[in-house]
This record gives sequence, C-alpha cells and structure tokens, in this order.
Amino acid sequence: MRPTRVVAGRRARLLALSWFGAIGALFIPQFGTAEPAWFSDAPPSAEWAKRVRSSHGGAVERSRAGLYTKRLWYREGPTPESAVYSPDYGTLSYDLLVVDPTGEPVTPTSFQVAEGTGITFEMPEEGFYNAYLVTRRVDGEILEARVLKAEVLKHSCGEGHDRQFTESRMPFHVAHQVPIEIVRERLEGEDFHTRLASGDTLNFQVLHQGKPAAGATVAMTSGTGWTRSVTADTDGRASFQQIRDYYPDWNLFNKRKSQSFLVTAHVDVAEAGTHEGKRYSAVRYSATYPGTYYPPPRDYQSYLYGLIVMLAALALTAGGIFLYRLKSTKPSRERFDESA
Amino acid sequence: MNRLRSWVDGVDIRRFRFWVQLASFFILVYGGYFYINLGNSLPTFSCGFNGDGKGGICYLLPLQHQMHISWDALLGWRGIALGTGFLTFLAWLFVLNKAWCGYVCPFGTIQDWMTKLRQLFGIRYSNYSLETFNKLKNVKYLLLILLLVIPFAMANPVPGTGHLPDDLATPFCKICPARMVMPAFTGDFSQWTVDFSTGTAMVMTSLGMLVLGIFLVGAFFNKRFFCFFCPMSALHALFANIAFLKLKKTGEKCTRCGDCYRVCDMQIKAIADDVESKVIVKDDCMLCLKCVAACPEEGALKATFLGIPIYESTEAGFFKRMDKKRKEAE
Repeated sequence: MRPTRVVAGRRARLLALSWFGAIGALFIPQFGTAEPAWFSDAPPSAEWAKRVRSSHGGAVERSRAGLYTKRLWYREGPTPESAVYSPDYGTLSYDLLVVDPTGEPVTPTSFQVAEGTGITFEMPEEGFYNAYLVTRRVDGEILEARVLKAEVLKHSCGEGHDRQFTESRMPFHVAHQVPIEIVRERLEGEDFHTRLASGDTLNFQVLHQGKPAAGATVAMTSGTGWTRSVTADTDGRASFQQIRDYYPDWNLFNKRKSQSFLVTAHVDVAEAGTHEGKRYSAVRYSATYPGTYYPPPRDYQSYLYGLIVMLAALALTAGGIFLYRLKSTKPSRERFDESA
Repeated sequence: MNRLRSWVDGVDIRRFRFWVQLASFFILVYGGYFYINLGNSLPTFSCGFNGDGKGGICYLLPLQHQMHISWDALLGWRGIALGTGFLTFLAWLFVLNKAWCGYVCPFGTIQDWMTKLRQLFGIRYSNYSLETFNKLKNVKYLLLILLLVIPFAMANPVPGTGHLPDDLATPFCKICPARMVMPAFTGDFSQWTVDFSTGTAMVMTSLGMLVLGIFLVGAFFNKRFFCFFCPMSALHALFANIAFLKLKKTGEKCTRCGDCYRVCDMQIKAIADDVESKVIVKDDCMLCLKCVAACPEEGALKATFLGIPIYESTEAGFFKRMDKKRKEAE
C-alpha cells in the first residue's frame, strides 16, 4: 500500500504556495465545506419518542424481555439542535460497522422511514458500543471519506455495579477498519453513571488509519451552534472545555436537561485514485462524534445552605436536650397562691 | 464438644461484636476498593451513594427504584427483576435475621461508636419513656410504607391527580442520614448539599440535612437513635420469625430480674416481661445478644440457628463475664 502523507487542508495550500508559487496553488484541489453528518439517538417526532425510554446511555427501545435496542438516526446540519433528519445517506456507497463492548462485531439493521434513516442494533452487553457509518463520494477532484461514529453506552442498574467489570468495560475501542476516527478519552474516575457536564474538559484523539493524526483540524460545536476549532497536537489530541449552553429562567431549569455537542475532525491528504469510476486527486477524511452533556451539580446544589440547615438542626436539637436536662435536674419550686 | 459449648457460652460478646462490626464496616464501606461486591440486595445500610468504596448496596435503594413499576410491567420481566431482588434480600436476611443490624450494619456501628464517644466524655445517655417508645417504634413502618407507595404511585398515577415529581423517585434515601454519613467515610461530601433545581428536590434535600443534624446529636445521646426509625428494621421485622437465626426464651426459667432489659440498647422491655413467647425477636431487636450475655439463668435465653443453640445464657458464662468486667474496672 502506498504510504500517505497527512497534511491539513490550509497547511497543504500554504505549502503549495511556498513550493510552487501562487500559480501552483491553483492546482491544489479546494476542499469543500459540506455540512457535517452524524448519528443521533434523539427521536425525530413525538410518535417515535413514545417508543423509547431514557437509560444511562440515552434513548433506548426496550423489549418486554428487557433487551435494549439502540436506534440511531442519520442527521445533517451545521448545529446539533437545528440539524435535519435526512432521508438517506447522500450516497449509495457506504459501509456500516457496529462493535460491541467486548470488541466483537454486531450486525446492525438499516431502516428507512418517512421521518429519516439510520440503523438499529441490539445491546445485550454492558458497556460502550461503537457504531460507524463510512461514506465515500467524489466531489470534483476530491474524494470525501466520511466516518460517522456514535459511541453509545448500555447500562442497566439491574445488571449490577461490579467495579472490576465496569473498569474492564471503560477503555475505548479503536476500529482499525475505518480510515479516520475520533475517540473520547474517559474522564478521571468515569463509570457507567458519569454524566458529562458543562465545565468538564473533554479530551479527544483523532486517529487516521489507526495512527494519531497530528495537525488534524478538530472542532467542537455546541447544540446551539457555538463552535471552537483547534489543531490536534502531535499525538492527534485536542481538548475542549464544555461550555454552558443552557440559560433558562430558574423556574424552568431542568437539571436533567440533555444538551448535544458535536466534535468534527478532518484530515486532508494529497492522494490520487479513482472511486466508482471517478478520478480524484485528493482525499478529505472527516469524522464526527456526537455526545450529550448536562448542567453540572454546582449550578444547582449548595453546600452552604446544606450546612446551614444541618447546623441549625444540630444546634436546636442539642439546645433542646440541654434545656430538657437542665429542667429535669432543677428541684421544683413550691408555688404559693397568695390570693387564696 | 461440651467444653467447646461452655467456652462459646462464656465468650465476651461485646468484644466479639466489636471485631465483627469493625470487619463488616471495613468490607461494606471500603470493600469496593478491593473489588468486593456483595450485590444490590443487602439487608443492611451499606449505602449505595458511597461511590467506589461500597462493598454492596442497601436493598432499600434498588427496592425504591424497582417499585417505580406500572401494573402491567409487574407481570413482565421487570416484575421478575423485582421478585429476584426481593428473594435475594430474603436469602441474605434469613441467614442472620436481625443480627444484620446488631453485627453488620455500618450505620449502626457508627452509632455504637458515637455511644462510646459519649461514654468517653462521661455524659449520661437519654432514653425514651415507654409511652414515647411505643409511639416512635411505629414511625419505621410508616416510612417503609411511604418508600414503597410513593415510587409505585409515580409509575401508576391516579387519573386526574397528575404525576408525582421525579425527585421523589427514592424518597427515603433523600431523607436518610446514611446518604450523607457513609460516603463521608470515603472522603465524599457531595451529598451534603441542598438541591435547588426543583421545589421537591429542595424540600427533600433540606429534610435530609435536617435529619442529619438531628441524627448527629440524637445518636450521641441515645443509643442506636436512628434504628427506632429505620424502615429496614421494619422490613426485617416482617420476616424475623421465619429466619434461621432466632432469639428464644424459656419463660419458666426467667426470674424477671430485668438484667436483659437494662443492657438492651433498643429499650425492649418485653425481653424481660414476656415469659410466654418462645421466640423473642421483637421488631426493634437487633440480635446483638447482649441480653443473652447478661442473663444469669441457665438456658433462659438462647440464640439458635435452624433450631440448634449457638449461644446460650449460663450461670458460668455470666460469672465469667462479671469477673472480667470487675477486673477491667479495677
């Protein structure tokens, strides 16, 4: 296999400018800015919402036998909240891959309904399932290779909380079959009950052909469209602190409010070839990784008020006991009714 | 065999209990760090809020979760899960009966340590009048009913009455002081807060902190202060008479001297007064067996496991313990 050189898009053009001059740069393909696509477990309509129930890993459909099934919808758009549920993947050429928490492949079922398209798969194992959709399409002279990844948790408290087992299921898996992948590194002490929250620093690593993609462009977009873009370091790592993106009136505040984020990464490679009979001279590998986060407890919990209530109760109880004992140890005084 | 039996009957039950309680406390509060996991159905206050350290989970937490079940789901797999959890709880309970409270419960152990602390300061203890005691002992049954009914009512709302708030999902845990106290032993004070996210959460977490304040003083002055109100004790009491471990009394051997009542941390008067009942495990009893150790009458009180006596009151054992106590005092 021909070795590929990973060069980020802007850098590639700058290099071209310095090497070949302005005219040479014209021959470097201009990478488009196609809207990101990703998998989401949020139902597209109230009708579909009736089918799911919330679990520690988000929305699931559950059979009477208790088996969890995840339904992932294909969505496209610049921001997670306004993204549409697309009726198809935009190409007939795609690969699906689902890997269970043990690293074994799972066969997903594709579906296409009036509200959208996507995949479903059963989740009998506790832990993180990785679902991938890989699409390839030649646009002009560029092959766009997109990898949509969804890392979804399956956890039911009914299956217990064995710490050793949980720890064994926490490390992330990497699929070597996909050309580019975003992996989220776990938070310190993360387990099946951990909720990502505003203020948390999330660390991601971008892997291209299984190796760290140094210089990849990585962006974090919040549900309402706030975006921050960084360049991955030499290990392909990028970090983002989750912003607060939820400002309701206090009487409408919901501590269980699930907010979306989307991480995108792309790597541009000067690589020529043909795909489905169309020639291309460069490849843009792009990956998406959606997730959810919640308001942090410090937004709505108070240690100070807790301690005030506790200390007040403590002082009143202690005072009550002291007074009761004081009263019971004093000799009773004889009272005279002088008016009698 | 007789020598072994007389050695067991003469054992210093306080010391034995101290070491068993210490070991149980370590297993249930820190056992998780050593990958000990005794499951979700323990008949004792091994608090589920105690992060990674917990060696098992108090059954009341999953029970409240599982009671959030609709009528039709009762007949489905969730009903089976509820039944399985309950049978596991019963299996644990049948082995030790109410000795789970007296020997294993880490929350009970903390209260015993607070009693020791009070004794160290030379402060006299408080107790309830018989009338107050008889009223208070019913509180735990009320709490047990509420912790079962509220989650069930959430899953099966009465038409026209609206849904109960989500923050009532585990109502007892919200007000249980163990939720704050047990994680504190692993350095986690995250439960010592008031949650202002909803009115219900605010009321319930404030109540929790209020109960914690009362508990810290109450358990200092009253022996086993919280056990009088513990719904787990109420749940135990429902099955106490069919468990394997029992406390039995031979009424005709009892002189009603009252020694057993005087040593009882739970103020159970019936232990001295009741000469009719064969099985004397009362609903507040924690099977600490201090009454057996304090009884000077040969065979008047005995602990049996599946009918086999394992610890019995004997004159020799009584005097052996008295001698030891006297020597300690000197």
